[in-house]
Amino acid sequence: MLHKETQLQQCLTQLRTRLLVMSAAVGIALDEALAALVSGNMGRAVAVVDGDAAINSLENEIDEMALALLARHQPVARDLRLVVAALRMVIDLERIGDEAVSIAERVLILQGKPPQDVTLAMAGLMRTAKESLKTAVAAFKDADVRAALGIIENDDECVQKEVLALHRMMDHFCTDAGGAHNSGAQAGMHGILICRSLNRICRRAANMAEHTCFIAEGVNIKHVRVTTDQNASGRGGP
Amino acid sequence: MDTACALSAKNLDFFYGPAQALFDVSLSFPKHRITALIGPSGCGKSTFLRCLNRMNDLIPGARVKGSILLDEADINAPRMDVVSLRRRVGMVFQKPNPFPKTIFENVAYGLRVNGARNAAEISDAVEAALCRAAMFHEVKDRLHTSALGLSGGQQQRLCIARALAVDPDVLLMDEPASALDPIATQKIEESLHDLKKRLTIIIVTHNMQQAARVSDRTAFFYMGRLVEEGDTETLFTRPTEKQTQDYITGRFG
Ligand SMILES: Nc1ncnc2c1ncn2[C@@H]1O[C@H](COP(=O)(O)OP(=O)(O)O)[C@@H](O)[C@H]1O
Ligand SMILES: [Mg+2]
Repeated sequence: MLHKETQLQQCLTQLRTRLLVMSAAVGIALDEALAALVSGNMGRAVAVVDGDAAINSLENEIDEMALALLARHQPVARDLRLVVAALRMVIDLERIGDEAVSIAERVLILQGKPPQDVTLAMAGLMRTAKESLKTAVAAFKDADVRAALGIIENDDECVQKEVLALHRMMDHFCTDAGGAHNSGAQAGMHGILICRSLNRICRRAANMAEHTCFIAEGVNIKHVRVTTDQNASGRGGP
Repeated sequence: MDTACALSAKNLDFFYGPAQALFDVSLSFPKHRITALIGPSGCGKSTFLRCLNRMNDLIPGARVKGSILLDEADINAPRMDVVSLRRRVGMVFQKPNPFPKTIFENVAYGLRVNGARNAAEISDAVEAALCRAAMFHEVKDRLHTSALGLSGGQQQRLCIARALAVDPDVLLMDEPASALDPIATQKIEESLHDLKKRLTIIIVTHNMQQAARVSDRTAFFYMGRLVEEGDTETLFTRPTEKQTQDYITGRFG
């Protein structure tokens, strides 16, 4: 009953592989941008900015592959869902890449000297953003709906970490705002904007998790609120 | 029986002599809907379609079990008149098979068989049928020339017009476009969309894209069994059965 891989299947495998390549590139960009931020290494920040062109061209390449696949093979069922999800996923990945660039650019604006308490303030949020992306990519790679749902339900954690980071940042902003070179205010402002970037990355990772669920089950869980019931069972109660 | 259904098969078994070709097939056809029957070659699509207007009757040793209801009447009941059954359940075949007569006479044929005598009425009905098959304008100036001078696509639409002339409730189509080029295929597919306002259509096709394009419901057959049936959009985006998924995505066949 089964026979060797068809043209369509080869194209689908290729599409999936390119998506994983793009995911890896975006993951590296984020890791490097955050490493540059923490260490104040301007060289690493420049590399992230320069690397963005490669991510953009991967987006175009995958876009074209998906369009060609639709036009030539008219995939259906799970195959169709993979192609549609790929078209959505490249948008999320490209945006995560843009946020990494934005973070790297702030390192350059701050001349590689973000005050340590700024980066410390958002350490938790940085970890959540990195982990969300890693888990989202792994869930896609392994078609792991449970892991994907975990990210979506984890929405809250990202918000809490951001609120915490912003509070600390505000403290920094207020205590140092009147400083001699006003550097505290500047660092605080960039810090707040970096927190926003990290928050957006978490949301994009959650989108990717939604696409993974869509591929597996064919249901769109976008904009469907996770019920409190599921929330409670997911966390094992208060 | 569900009155919203034009035709309804229940627990249908079919045998060619000792060989069973259909196993316990239950499938209903909602009125004014197009249902596509898909599945690998030899899975019983044509056999099932031919059961629906008793075209298998002539095959020696053929035997049918179970019931097929047309407006609550079992079409296999002894008092069912096969001629009137086939008037109500018309059929179009894979290969266009016009009679070696004029275009007009091809369409008028069924009307005459069913007793129409009034020339003006026949003429009106022929024009109406040709219009519904979306070909009146192409042939109106040569109605009295031979049908065999038409292109393959036109011949097939003429066969559709011939089937429509007697105003059937159900139209059975067995791979009606498989011998046609894409333009001729598209013309037929477009006409189906209008036709379903007046009747119920059941179409066998080995072209999955065609099933996805034209039908409201799709039924997937495999080795004489109905595996899955449902709304076409659902079946082609998230089929329930693994066999369906494997077949429509080209994993076997
Ligand atoms: N006239 C016949 N006599 C005997 N066996 C037949 C006849 N027609 C079809 N069959 C058998 O019945 C099965 C179903 O055939 P068919 O209905 O033509 O399948 P499909 O239309 O899906 O290709 C096949 O195994 C085929 O060989
Ligand atoms: Mg057949």
